[in-house]
Amino acid sequence: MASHQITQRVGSKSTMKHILLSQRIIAVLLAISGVLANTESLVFRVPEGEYSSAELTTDNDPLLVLKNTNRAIGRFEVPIDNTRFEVELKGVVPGDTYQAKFCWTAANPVEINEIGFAVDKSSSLPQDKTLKSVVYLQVSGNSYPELRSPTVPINVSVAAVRFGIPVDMYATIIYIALLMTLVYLLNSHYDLYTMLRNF
Amino acid sequence: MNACKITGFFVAAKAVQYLIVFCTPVDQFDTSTKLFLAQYVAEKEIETWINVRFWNKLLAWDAVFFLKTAMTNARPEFEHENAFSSLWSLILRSASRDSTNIYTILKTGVIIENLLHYGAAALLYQLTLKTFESNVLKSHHIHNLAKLSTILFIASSAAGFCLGVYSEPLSTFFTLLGMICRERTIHFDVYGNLRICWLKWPLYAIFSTACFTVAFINRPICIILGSYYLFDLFYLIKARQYKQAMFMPCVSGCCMFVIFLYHQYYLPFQVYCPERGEWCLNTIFDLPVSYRSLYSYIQDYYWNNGILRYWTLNNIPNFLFALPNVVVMWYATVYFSHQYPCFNLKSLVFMSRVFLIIMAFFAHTQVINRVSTFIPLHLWYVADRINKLYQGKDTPMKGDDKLIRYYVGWLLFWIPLQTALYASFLPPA
Repeated sequence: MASHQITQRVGSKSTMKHILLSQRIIAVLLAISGVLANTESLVFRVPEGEYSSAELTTDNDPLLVLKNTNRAIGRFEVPIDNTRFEVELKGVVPGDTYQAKFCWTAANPVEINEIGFAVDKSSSLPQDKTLKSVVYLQVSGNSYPELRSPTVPINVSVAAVRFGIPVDMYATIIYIALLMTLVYLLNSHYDLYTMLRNF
Repeated sequence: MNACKITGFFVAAKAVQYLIVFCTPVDQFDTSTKLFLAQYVAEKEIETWINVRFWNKLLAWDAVFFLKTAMTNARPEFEHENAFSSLWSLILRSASRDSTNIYTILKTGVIIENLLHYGAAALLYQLTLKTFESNVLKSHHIHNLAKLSTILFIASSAAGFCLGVYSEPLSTFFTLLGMICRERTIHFDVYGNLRICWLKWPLYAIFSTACFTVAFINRPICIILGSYYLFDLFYLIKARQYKQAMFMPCVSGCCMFVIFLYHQYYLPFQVYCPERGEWCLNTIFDLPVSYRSLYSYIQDYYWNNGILRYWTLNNIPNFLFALPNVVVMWYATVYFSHQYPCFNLKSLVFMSRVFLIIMAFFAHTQVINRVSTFIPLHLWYVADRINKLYQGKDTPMKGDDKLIRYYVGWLLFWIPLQTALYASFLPPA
């Protein structure tokens, strides 16, 4: 990666504060820290700036387009030689917070050594001031015998974070909340413990 | 009558759990299931209405390993996949008539899983009757105890893990069968000495040993079942029953130990060494065995299991998930040692304590919710306290009874919650 390209990584002090708050909320809510075997996640805030248009895409570059939507998912063949693999994010809203998830199947024994979010200049031309945002990951094999395939498929998904929760989690959280409410109401009405005793 | 009630409860409980799975939103937190499926079946088949809403959701966490090994004819492709029972994968593959369609194997696996769970429930009922017949319970109390234990076993904290293709029900089935075989051969005389009937030698030395062996080949933690033979050996020697000690627990224990060495040490060495290096390097007296078992190496290297390694701040939620079972299992060991001492439960009390120590200090502690299904002691404790509870209308519960009430209350919420979390591919694993 040419050094002139990276203008901002995750991130400035205020950005980090925001990120950590979101991450904490998610971690406490889901109690997931440290136990997700096949998923790595990252919460980031897109810094203000002028970004390249979501319409301008090339077929070859790995990218996720979030135009007119607050979530996107894509499957990418990622090399397992521990090199940096970038996925460009198009259509992200400056100032907004997102969660990126990197999921791989346990059938492919790899480990993700690094994940991150970065903002680069969209081209090396000095007059071009537009930016591009990317999430990146570095993957290596972790098995015996070694994986024969030079790449593994990895799902990269990005979702906007609202009230500290990624939008793609809302349906699950609401469902679980409804389920727990139903159990509570049933228990209040029928006293399931007493029913068990008298079963 | 109890059989009908238990069967009805089993069907109803499973139906509710599968309904929860079906209603869970299709977008899982971990999206890797489709990546896994895409390696074996066409996109079109993955995306059918029923697969998206039901079958794909059962493929979370370790289910992937069992199915993958079943697809590769029970031969693990990578070293770490040996942590997951090849025996169970072989059963899945064979039962699905060597099908290479992953959905056929999955559906067959789900049927077998439920049959084993139901079979294990029936065995637990019988085991409870047999275990407590020599104790001071009245007949209707024993049947009630058996019924309640079985209900608690069906509605256990393993919840969603018993819906798919996890290997626990297989070990549980054979553990309970082995316990029944052993329990039917032993008795205690009026002086409290252990006696084993010679006529029932095959039941003890062959069948119970075979059952426990299948259980630990499937799930290595079940090796602690060998404690039965150590205790029996000790009591028989103490009672000067040397011949019985030699030809029963000694033979059984030795068989288990030899098979354990063969399965966990010798066999992996033949497959992987010396090319593998690492764990192959430290051999015992240049024999073709390493001082370390492959399973222990895998748990250490790939899953970072080891003494106190899980005791970190970020794992506090996982300890909280495990807390109800840890507390109830510990109280169960105290209860059957002091408040309601049963001589024939001494070895099981010992096993439960060893199991708790392993879970608390060496393993990913929250797995106790799933793995503890092969130990019935805490179920008997909970069932016995509920059974003996004569509560007046306004009498507040105390001590054990209060604990049991909280535990059952936790189960009521935990089972649907964990089922939904599993279907959403969310922790705890």
